[in-house]
Amino acid sequence: MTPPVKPLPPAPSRVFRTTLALGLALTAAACAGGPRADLKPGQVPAADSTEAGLWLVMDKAETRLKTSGRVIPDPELQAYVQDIVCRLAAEHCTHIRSYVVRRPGFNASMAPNGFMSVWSGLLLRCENEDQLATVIGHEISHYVRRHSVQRWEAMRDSLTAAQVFGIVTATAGVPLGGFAVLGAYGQVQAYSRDHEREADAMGFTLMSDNGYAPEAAPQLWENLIAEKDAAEEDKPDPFFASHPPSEERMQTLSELAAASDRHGTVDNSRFEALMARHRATWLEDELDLGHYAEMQVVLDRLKDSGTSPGVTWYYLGEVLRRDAEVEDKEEAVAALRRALTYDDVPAEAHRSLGLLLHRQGDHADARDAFENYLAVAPGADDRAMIEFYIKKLETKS
Amino acid sequence: MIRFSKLCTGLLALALLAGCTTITEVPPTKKHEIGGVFRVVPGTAWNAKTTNRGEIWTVNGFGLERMAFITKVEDGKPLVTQGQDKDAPTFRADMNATDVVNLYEALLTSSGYSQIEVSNLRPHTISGQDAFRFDYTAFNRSGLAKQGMVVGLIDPEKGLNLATYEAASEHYYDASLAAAESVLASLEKI
Ligand SMILES: [Zn+2]
Repeated sequence: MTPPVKPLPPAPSRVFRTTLALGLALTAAACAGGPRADLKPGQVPAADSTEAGLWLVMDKAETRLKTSGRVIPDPELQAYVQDIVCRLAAEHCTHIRSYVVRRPGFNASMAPNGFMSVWSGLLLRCENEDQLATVIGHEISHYVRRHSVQRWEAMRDSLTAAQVFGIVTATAGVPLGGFAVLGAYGQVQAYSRDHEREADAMGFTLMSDNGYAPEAAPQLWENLIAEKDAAEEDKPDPFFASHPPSEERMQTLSELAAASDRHGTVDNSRFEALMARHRATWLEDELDLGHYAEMQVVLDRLKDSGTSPGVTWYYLGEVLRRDAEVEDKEEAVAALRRALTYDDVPAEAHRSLGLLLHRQGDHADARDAFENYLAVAPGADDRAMIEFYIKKLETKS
Repeated sequence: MIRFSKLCTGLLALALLAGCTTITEVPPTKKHEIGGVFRVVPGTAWNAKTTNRGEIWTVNGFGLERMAFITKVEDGKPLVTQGQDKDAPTFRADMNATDVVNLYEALLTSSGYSQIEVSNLRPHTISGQDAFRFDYTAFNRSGLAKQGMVVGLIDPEKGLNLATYEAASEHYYDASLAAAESVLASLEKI
């Protein structure tokens, strides 16, 4: 179903774009605002336009991201996401460049020049390729509908070029500071919500027309709502702030899915193989965020799916072990013991169990757990510390 | 005052809110007390700034390399008290070295760091008292590769105390590594 990948056409745009002074381009009051025609495949903005200036800014941001070390160095994973882009974007495919960046939390972004980024935390939250395609379809729609330039035109009058640079790059997930622009950024949120609705609808068409299951779209939102509800209080999340309420999006997508006559199904084996490869690392990153309640929702879903059970139960144990608000650690102990019954359990489960039992005063079992850790991971780089714990426990028991 | 103005430029990003306040040069050869917990021999002419939890030192600018001393973190208190996520995890008196590693990872994450890899957690001693050390690499908020090392001491009276060195992996980390190692080697508990 993937269209043949055409070679990139020669890009005259690069030549003129580099000759453009950044500031000049951004402050040029060129085109009139308002809706624009969709971007044609391979179309580049006119040299002296505002849009060309935005592209130039995002070319720079893209270069920064590429050299930042944040792009996950797994060519198969990167190619996989780009393949979904191509399946959905058809002849726009070669003009969109996707990057999977290692970062916890649910987010993806699309810049006007076709620079798309997907956070690892978003992949972690997708249950299948259909849900991932929902997000990618949404982002492609922003690109084709040229939402960035329209949004920029709506706010440019009140901002300096430097402020705009901050906003545009922040939108693309490349924050460069810019506290000062947040207020002005907020003012365009209402405007951008219409774009989000439009991108949801068009993204839904792209995914359901290309063989993906329509019901995956509302399901993704249902999952996110469950996570949001689990958080004790609403935290200002950059994703939720710039988007319509999740409930509304889920509702709209449910209606679209119910009315759709498409019944796509895809083979999820490639999706699952790649997720299994990275899941533990991404969960580890998520743990450091300290949003334990949300994380538990993600883990409960993984638990129900039965994929990576050792990894899932280990991180369930870790969430309960680290969360200071969970006073009774019996459940954490139970989750870790359960994790240890599966083949894919990380060696660290033994260590965490040892730490918990140590704290509970169960010195003999704690020592066994630490010794198991060193037996399973003889090359562990914290070996000296664990041996120190064992020695201390010996003097106690 | 060339050093001062150079430092201010390096600090520009941080200075947006704080401004260039009192930065003083630490006398290199004199024993220096920090937070009522640590006594160190600076060795090099570090520039120091006091914080509400101790001191931070640099040679070329806080964004390039820094030593940070975080002292007397009490039970139930976060590592850093300013400008952090309000649900930043807190230190608990029953924590051990491995728990403090997790706490430190959470601190880096809440400061916008990503891809944090901790290594070589190992026992250490300060003035004959059990302590620990570990190393790490990460990328900061703007994608710059950073490298660091941490020495920690949990004390029944003085809570959690950390002495850290962190710098840009490229050039700066190695450039001041010997100076930082010498400071950490000189650490005494008051
Ligand atoms: Zn969007």
